[in-house]
Amino acid sequence: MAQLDVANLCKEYPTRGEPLKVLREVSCTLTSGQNMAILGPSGCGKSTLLYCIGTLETPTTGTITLDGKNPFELPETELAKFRNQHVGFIFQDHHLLPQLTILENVLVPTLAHGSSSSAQVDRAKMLIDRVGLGDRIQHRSSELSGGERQRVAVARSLILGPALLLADEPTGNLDRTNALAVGNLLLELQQQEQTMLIVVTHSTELAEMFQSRFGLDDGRLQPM
Amino acid sequence: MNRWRFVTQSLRHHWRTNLAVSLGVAVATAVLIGALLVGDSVRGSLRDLALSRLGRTQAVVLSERYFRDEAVGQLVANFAEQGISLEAQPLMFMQGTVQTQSTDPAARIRLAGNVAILGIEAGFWDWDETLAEKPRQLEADELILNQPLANELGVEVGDMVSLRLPGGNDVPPDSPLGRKTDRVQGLPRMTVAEIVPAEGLGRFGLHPTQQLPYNAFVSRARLQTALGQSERTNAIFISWDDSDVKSPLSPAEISAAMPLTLEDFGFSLTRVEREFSSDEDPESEKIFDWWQLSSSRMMIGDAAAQLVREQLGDQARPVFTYLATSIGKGQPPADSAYTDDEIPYSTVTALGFPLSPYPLLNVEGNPIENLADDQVVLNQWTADRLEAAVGDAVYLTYFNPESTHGVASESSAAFTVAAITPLTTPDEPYQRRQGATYTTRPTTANDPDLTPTVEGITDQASINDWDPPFPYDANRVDSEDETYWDNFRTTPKVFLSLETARKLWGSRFGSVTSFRFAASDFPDEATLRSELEMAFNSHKSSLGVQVLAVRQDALRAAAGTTPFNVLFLGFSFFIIAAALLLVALLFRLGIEQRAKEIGTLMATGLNSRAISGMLTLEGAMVTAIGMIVGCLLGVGYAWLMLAGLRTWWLDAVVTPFLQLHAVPGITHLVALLVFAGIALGTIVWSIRGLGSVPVRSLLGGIVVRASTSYAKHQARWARLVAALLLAVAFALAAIATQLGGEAQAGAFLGSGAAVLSAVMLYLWYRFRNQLLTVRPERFSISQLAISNAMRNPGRSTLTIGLMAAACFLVIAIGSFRLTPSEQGAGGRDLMAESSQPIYHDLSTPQGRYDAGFTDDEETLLTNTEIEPLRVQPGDDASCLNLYQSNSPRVLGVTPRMIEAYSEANRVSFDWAASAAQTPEERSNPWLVLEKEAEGKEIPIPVVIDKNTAMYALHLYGGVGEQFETLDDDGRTTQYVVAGLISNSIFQGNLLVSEENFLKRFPDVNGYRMFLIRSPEGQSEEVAATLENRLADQGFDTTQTEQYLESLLAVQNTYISTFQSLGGLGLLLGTFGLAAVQLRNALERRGELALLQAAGFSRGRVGRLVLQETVILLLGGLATGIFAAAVTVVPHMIFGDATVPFETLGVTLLLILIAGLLSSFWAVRSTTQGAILPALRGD
Repeated sequence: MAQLDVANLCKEYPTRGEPLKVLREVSCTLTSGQNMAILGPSGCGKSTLLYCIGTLETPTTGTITLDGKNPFELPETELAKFRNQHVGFIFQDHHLLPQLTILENVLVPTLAHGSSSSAQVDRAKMLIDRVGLGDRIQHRSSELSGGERQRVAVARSLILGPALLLADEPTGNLDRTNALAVGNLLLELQQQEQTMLIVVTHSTELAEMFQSRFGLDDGRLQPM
Repeated sequence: MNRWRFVTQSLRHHWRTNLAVSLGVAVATAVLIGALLVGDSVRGSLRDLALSRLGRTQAVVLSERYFRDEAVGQLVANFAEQGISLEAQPLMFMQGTVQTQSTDPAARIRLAGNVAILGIEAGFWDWDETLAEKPRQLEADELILNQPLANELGVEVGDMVSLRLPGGNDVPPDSPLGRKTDRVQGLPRMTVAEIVPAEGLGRFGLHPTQQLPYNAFVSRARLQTALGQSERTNAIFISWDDSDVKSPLSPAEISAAMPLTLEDFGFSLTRVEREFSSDEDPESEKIFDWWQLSSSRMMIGDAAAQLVREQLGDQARPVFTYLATSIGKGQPPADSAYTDDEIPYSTVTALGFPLSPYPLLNVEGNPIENLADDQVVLNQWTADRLEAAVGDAVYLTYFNPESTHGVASESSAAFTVAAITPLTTPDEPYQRRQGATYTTRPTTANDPDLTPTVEGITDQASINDWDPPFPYDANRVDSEDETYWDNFRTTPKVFLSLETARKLWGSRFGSVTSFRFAASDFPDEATLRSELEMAFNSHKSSLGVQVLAVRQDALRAAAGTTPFNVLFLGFSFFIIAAALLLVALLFRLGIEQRAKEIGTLMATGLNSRAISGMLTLEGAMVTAIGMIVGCLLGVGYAWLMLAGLRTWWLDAVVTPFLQLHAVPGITHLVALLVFAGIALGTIVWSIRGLGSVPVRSLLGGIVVRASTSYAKHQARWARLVAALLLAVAFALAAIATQLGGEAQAGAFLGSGAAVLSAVMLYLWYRFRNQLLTVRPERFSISQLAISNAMRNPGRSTLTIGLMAAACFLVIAIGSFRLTPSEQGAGGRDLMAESSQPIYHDLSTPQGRYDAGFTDDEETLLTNTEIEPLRVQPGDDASCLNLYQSNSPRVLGVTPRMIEAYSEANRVSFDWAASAAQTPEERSNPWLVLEKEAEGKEIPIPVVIDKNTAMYALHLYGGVGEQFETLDDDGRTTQYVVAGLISNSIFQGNLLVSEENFLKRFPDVNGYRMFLIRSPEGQSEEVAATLENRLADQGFDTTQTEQYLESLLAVQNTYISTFQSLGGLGLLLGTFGLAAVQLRNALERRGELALLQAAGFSRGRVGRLVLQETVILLLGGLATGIFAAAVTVVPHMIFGDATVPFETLGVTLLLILIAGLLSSFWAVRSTTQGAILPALRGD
C-alpha cells in the first residue's frame, strides 16, 4: 500500500523585498485509495502545494515522501522518471497536444520510455473507453468539447497507473453538469485504480464528494 | 506511439512555424551555397573563356624577329620522330593600329590602337571549335575584324580600313644609329571581309583577360609581302592531343625541338677575306680571311655575345665599331663646336690586340700589341689628314650610346696616338656593286667590313646619298671625305682597345658589333655555324624567341585574382548570421508558442533531455528541409548574382562573360555540413534552458525562467564579455587599416561582428536585469512601451541584432565607395598609350617638330606637359582583369617625371606608404625609385598601386616586401616594394625608374605611355591634336578622370553588390521584426484587449505597440551605425573611407520606413480582432 507523507512543508518565493511565504509548515498523510480536496481562495497557495507534492516545484523546507522515498533527493532525470511512474496530473486546462489524436494524447506519458508498448496502448484504449470516449479514439482535441477534453486528460493521468493523482482545478473550466461528471469520473477511477487523489478546487460542491477536505489559510493546511 | 511519430506529428502540426524556420535556414543555405557557386562560376567562366579564346592552341612560339617557315615543319617532324603528333601553324603576330578609310574627305576617321594583328592561313579557323561557320579564305586586300574592333571603328563588312604595322629595321631606335622615323608600315585599303564574334579565336590573346580584345586577321602572305618577310614568320601556334603525351609539352621541350638558324636569330655569318696578287707576284696572298658574325640589330646584344664567348672562347674575336662625329688633333674643343680641321663622320673600331692571325701592323710592319685606355691607332690616311704623328694628342667626338627622348647628345674623349697603321689606296675605287681593286698590296687596315651595315649609310655609293638616322651636317663633308668614301668606304680611321670602347660606347644594346673567327680555325662554315646555332638554340628565350605554354598559363591564371567565393562568403557572412538569428528567433518563438505542450510533457514525466531531444530532432528535420530547399535556392541565388554581374554590376567584371557553373563538389559538402552543424546548434541554443523553466510556468505558457534574485549583479559576465568584445573590435578595426586583401576584409568584418556581439550582449544584460526600468512617477505610454520592449530580453536582443547586422553592412560597405580624385592621376588630365613606341620627346618643341607637329599644333602644345613612360608589356594586373597576373606590365618612370614631383605646389599622387627616408624623399616619394638595381641580386625598387599590391599581387607586407615576377623572356625579376599609391591610374602596373627599367629590359625602345597635363580647358583639343598627329603610332588618349572612374567602378560596383546583400539582410531583419511583433501582440492580446476595455482607442493601443517596435528598430539602427562607426572611422583617418552621408541617410530612412511598415502590419493584425474573445483568453 502506497503512502504519501508531507511534513513541515514550506515554500517561499523571492521578491524585490522580503521573500513571499506561500506555504508554512504544511503536513499531511495519504494512503492508497484515500482522497482529499483542498479548498481556498485564489493565491492562497493551493496549486503551489499541489505542484510541490507533484515534484513540479521544489519546497523551500520540509519533506515529501512517497512510500518513504523523498523524490527531491533524486537527480533531475530520476525525478522526471519518478514523476512519470508515480504521479498523474490533471490541470484546469486540459493541455492536450493539438497535433495528436486522443489515443496518442493519452499515451504521451509513455514516451518517457521511448515508445508505447502494446499493453500500454491497450490500457490507453481501456481508459478512453472508461471515460466514455471509446468511439472518439482517433479524434483530435480540437474535435472535443471542454468536458470531453478534460476526460481525456483524466485518462492520460492514469495511463501509467500512478500511485498519486493530483488535480489542479480539474473542473474550473467546465459547466456544473460537466464538472460533476468529471468529478464523479475522477473519484470512480481513483477507487478503481486505488490511487491516492488530491484535488485543489474552489468548488465546495466538488470538495463535498471527497473523503477529506482541507482549507489553506495563510499558508497553513487546516481540516474543514 | 513513439517519439519519432510524436516529432513527425509535431512537425506537421506546427507547419507554419516550421515553414518559417525552414525558410530562414533555406535563405542562409542559399546565401552560403550561392556564394560558393558564384566563386566556382567565376573560376569556371574564366577557365572556359581562357580555353575558348585559345581554340586548340596549347603553346605559342613568338619571336621578336622573323624566322623561316621551314622551322614550323621541322618542329612537327622532330616531334613526329618521338611519336608525338603535333599540329603547328605559322602566324604573323604583332600589335598594330587600324583606322577607318573613306573616300569621303568629310568622313570622320576612327582609329583603334593596340590591335592584335594576326597574319593567318586558311586552316587557322579550323582550330576554333566554337565557330558554327568558318570565315572564308582571305584575299590579299581583305581582312577580318572581331566584333569589338568593328564596333570601335564603326565599320561593317565591305568597309575599307588601313593597318599600321611595326616596321623599320632591327637597329634599336633608341641607339644613335637607330632610325626613329619610318618605323610604321602601312597596309592601306583593306576591305573588311567578315566580322567574327568575340568568341573562340575571335577573342584570341596571349595575356589572359576577360576584357574584349581588338583583333584583326589578315592573310599571312599579305603581311609577309608588306613587311618584306617572304616565307618567314614570327609566331607558331602549336596544338597536340593530350592523350598522346604523358604530360603537357613544356616550353623547353618545344624549344629544343625547333632548331633555328643564325639568320632566324637575326645574325649573319659571312666570309670576310681579302686576297692580293700582283703582276710581280701572281700567287694569291691572303691579307686576311675571317668569318664574321654580325647582327641585323647592328649591335650584338650582351646575351648573344656571352653565348658566343662561352661557346667558342678565344676563337671568337669581338669587334666594336662606332661612329665618331669628329676626329681632331689636340684636345677636344671646350665649346663642343665642330671645327673645319676635324674629320667628320668616321667609323672607329675597337679590337682585341693583336688581332691574330691578321694583326694590324704599324708603319714598321710590326703587329700592334696592346693599347692602353688612352691610346689609339690612326690609319695612315687619318694621320696624314690630321698631320698627326705617334705621340700626338687626338680626340674623338661621338654620340652618347643611349639617346633619351630621341635626342642624340655628344661627348668627346682625348687619346694619344700609339701607332699609325698603313692603308693602301686602291687603284680602282669602290663601285656600287664592285669592290675596290688594288695593284699595291692592301693592308689589314683595308677592311671596311669591320663596320656593320648601317641602313642609309653603308649601302650608299656616295656620302651625298647618305640618309643617316643621326643628326648630320652635310656641309662638314669635303672632297677629301668623299674621296675616302670612294676608296675605303666604311674602313675605320681609328682603332682603339675594346675595353676603352666598352667604357665609352657600351650600352644596353651591347658592346660588340661583330665577332670574327679566323677561317684557318674553321675551314668549314658548317662547323662554325653549327657551334653558334647550338649556343643560340639552347638559349632561345634570351635571344627573343619565347615559347609560351599559353594553355597552362591560362589555366593557372584562371584561378583568378580574387577568390570570389571567399569574397562573397565574407560579405554574405552577415546575411548568413542574420538568417541564423532569424532561425533562432523563429524557432524560439515556436518553442514559446508550445510552452504548455512542453510543460505537459514535463508534468507527465518526460525529462528535459528527452524533450530537448525531440525538439532537436524536429529542428534537425526542419533544418534538413530548409537546407535542401536552400541548395536549390542557392543555385537560383548564384544565377541571380551572376546575372547581376552580367548586367547591373557589369562594371565589377568589365565584360559579361560569367556563366553559372553549378557542379557539386566536396567544398559544397563540407560547407553544408559545417552550416548544418551551426544551424542545428542555433536551434539547440534557442531551446536551451528549457529544463530550468518551472513546469508550472511552462504550463502557464511562459518559457522564460523567472529570476530567482533581483540583484543587479545577475549575468555580470555578460557585461565583462561585452567590454572585452568591444576592445577586440577596436583593436581589429585599427589593425584592419594596416592589413590588405582578405586579411583586411577579415579584420574589418571581424571588428564589425565583435561590436555587434558586444552591443547585443550588453543590451541583453540590461534587458535581463531590467536596467531600463521606468520611473513610476513619470509613467507614460512610451515608458510602458520601453517596459514591454524588454519584457522578453532574448527576443528583443535578437531583433535588434538582426536589424543592426544589416544596417552595419549597408553603412560600412557604403563608406568605401570611391570617387576619382586629382591625386589619382598625379594632377594629369590626360593619359595616352600608343601601339607603336614613340621615340621623340613630345614635351619639347624640338621633339614635337621631329615628330611632325605643325606650327599651329605647336602653339597649342607649347604649354602642355607630356611625360613619357617606358612600357614592358605584361599582364593587366588591375582590378579590371580577373585573371591572376603572372607578369604585370612594367612602366619606366623618367628622371624628369620624378624630378617634376619635387616641384612645390605640384599635385602629387596619394601615397599610402613609401620607403622615403630623407626629407627630399618624404617630400617627393618618387625619389625612392632612384636606387640602382638590376633585378637579380639587388631587387628593383617599385611603386605599385595599393589595390594592385593587395589584391592582384597579394603583397600584404607593404613597403619593403620583396617579390618576383616571371617575365615573358623566361627570366625572373626581383622587386622590392618602395612605395604604394592609392586609387591611381597606375593600377595594374609596376613602376620602376627608367634606369633600372632599361637595365632589366634593354630591348625596349621608345615610349608607349604618356601622362599629359594640358592647359586649363584645352584637354579635348590637346587630345585630338596628339591623336591626329600620331595616328600612325596608334596614339590613343583617355581622360584620366574617366579612366579612374572605370577603375573605381569595379570597387564601387562590388560595394553595390554587397549593399544588395545588405538589403537582403534588411529584408530578413524586417521579417524578423514583423514576426516578433506579431508574436508579441498575439501573446498580449488579452492585455491589449484589456487596454481597449479600459478605454484605450485602437489607435492608441496600436501606437503603444508601434512604439515598442520603434524602440527595437531604432536600437537596431543605432547598434548598426555604432558598429559601422567603430570599423569605418579608422579607415577614414588612415585610409580611403568616406561616408556618403546623404545616400546613407536616405538608405537608413528607407530601413526605418520598411521596419515601421512591417510593424504596422503586425500591430494592425492584432488590434483589429474582437475584444471579448481576447479578454476570455480564447
